[in-house]
Amino acid sequence: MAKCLLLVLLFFVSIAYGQEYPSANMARWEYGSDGYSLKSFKIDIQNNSPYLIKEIKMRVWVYDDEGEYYEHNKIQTFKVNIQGYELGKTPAIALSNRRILRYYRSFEGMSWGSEILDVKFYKTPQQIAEEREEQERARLEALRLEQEEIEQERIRQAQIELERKIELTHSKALEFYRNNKLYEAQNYFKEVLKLDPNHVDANQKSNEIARFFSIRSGAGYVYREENSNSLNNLKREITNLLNNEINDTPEGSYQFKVSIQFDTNGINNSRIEGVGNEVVLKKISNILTSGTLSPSKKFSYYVNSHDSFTIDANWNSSEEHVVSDGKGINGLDKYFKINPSDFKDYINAQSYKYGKFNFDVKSKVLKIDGNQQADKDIRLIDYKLNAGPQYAFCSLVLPGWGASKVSSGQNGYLTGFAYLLSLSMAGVTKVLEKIDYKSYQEAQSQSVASEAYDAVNADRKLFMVCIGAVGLAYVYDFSWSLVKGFSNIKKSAYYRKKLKDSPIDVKLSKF
Amino acid sequence: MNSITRNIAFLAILFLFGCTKDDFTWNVKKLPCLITFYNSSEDFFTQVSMAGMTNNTLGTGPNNFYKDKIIKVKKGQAYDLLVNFQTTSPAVGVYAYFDWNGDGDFLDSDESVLISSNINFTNVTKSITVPSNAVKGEYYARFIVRAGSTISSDPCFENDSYGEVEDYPLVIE
Repeated sequence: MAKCLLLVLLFFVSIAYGQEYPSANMARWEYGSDGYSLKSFKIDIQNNSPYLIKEIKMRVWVYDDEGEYYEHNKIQTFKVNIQGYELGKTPAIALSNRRILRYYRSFEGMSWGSEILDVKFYKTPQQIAEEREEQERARLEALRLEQEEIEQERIRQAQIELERKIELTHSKALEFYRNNKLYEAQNYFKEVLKLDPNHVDANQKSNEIARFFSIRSGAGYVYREENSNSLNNLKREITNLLNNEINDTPEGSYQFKVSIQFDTNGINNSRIEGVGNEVVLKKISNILTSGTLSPSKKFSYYVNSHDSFTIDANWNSSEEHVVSDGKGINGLDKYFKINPSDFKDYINAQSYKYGKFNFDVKSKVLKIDGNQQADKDIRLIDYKLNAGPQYAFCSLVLPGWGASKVSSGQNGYLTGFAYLLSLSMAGVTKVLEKIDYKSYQEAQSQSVASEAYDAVNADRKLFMVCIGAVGLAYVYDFSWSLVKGFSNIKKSAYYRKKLKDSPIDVKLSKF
Repeated sequence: MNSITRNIAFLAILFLFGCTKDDFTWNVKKLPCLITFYNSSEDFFTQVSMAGMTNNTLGTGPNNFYKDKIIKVKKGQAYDLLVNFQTTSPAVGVYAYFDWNGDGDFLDSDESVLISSNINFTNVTKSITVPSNAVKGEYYARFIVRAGSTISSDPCFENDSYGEVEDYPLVIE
């Protein structure tokens, strides 16, 4: 118990000394030569510091568990040599021989206690120098931090003051700017820029004002830079006009120049050059003067502005013949070869997709202000059914042919095969019949003649069956082709019905 | 439309196989039953003449089919049949057969005509009337000289040793 209390005490002492005070960990008993007597003991000292412990003063006592019998209770000073953070022993502490007897009377054995009273550390000159240097460095660092903080505070205050001044000056500049007092505004903006050369708004507005003074006294503004929306609207309206012209005529071309001019009174002096068609010229002139173009204004004043662009439009039409049948959708004309999907997609999307299609392809190119657009309008202008009932007569030439025609290659092959097979068999049986008939004619006895006659009749019947199959193929294929052909007429009627009113729009585009 | 198809089909087959109308009957036209004689050197026809057809023969064989000697008759009309034959036998039976109904045999009641059974009457003229119910078409006529012990009227009987049979195309119009 006492030892525990001592350890607790040492613990608090070590805390008080910043964990650097040594502590006594344990004692090492040393026995005498008889093996029973306790001759001496040594205490392990834990050096908790980086410094060398040269001398340690401590009270050391030994006791048993009965009556706190102290055999040894002395204050002793030991010369030791314990390195920093090392475990070291005190020199041997001698015990009297009487302790042997006491030891045997006790059941609990012997206990010990110690109390470190004083410690002498030893520091090397280098350690001392390093410590001083560290202290000086810390002091200088603290000083530097303090000065830096003062300087930063001074700069912050100066910055606040500068910003306040910039803000004030900028506010004045803006006030003049908003009131279109450009000279005064320019002076203040320049003042702001002196304080802050990177001030974005001041830079922008100062340049704007400088540019305004420069342009106003020079060539004037470029219209597209000041009124881009108006210019775009103008282009859009002219484009719409040209779209209508292109839509209404199979071919044509226009090349003209639009010159935009506004004076300082906001008067529109824009004009067109190069349009020979009076009607179109009038329409475009109307667009130019109808208010589509807004006069250029700067700082509430009309300013002179100018611009120009050219328009080059040309379009032409050609016919594309496309055949859709059992072999697929094919065309030989040039646009089909370039982009067959334009035609195939349309045909494939129809409920009845076979026939001879005649498309009008209008190829159009519009170059406006350097931007060229090219596109195509495709319209179906004529349609002819290529699987009508008239193809039933092909079945009279070769059964299956008509069915193949009216079904666009999907049917007829089986009928054709059956027909040719039956016809071939008919030919073979007819040849056999003639051979057997000759035998019949040349028979030398009635019994041989009767056999030959039966054979001839069998050949004849087979021939008739084959001929019947041939005839059936004719009748079936002709009838089927005829019905299918009329059905095709009905299915494809909507092409003709629509085309009677107007061409069918397949793919239309607007610039 | 079907008739057009049939005709076109028929023409196609005709073109392909060189067929005639007769090729499209269910059964092949029967030839007369086949009979022959052992010896025709002494008992045979020397002439058969009817309806503009005349065939002078000298017993060229026991069984003869003169396919180019066509007897053309019309229904309901009567024609003279002139038959000349020779025989060395004490008994003879000369018959004429006409397949009036075109059934391929000469077994019907009016299809068999006795020309002569007297060896002294070897030049006989007989009037043959074509039945009004005869069937138009191309059939056969048969003439038989039988000599010896048996003079059967059976047009297919061939158990005789002496005689001659002559077959002719018979066209009934």
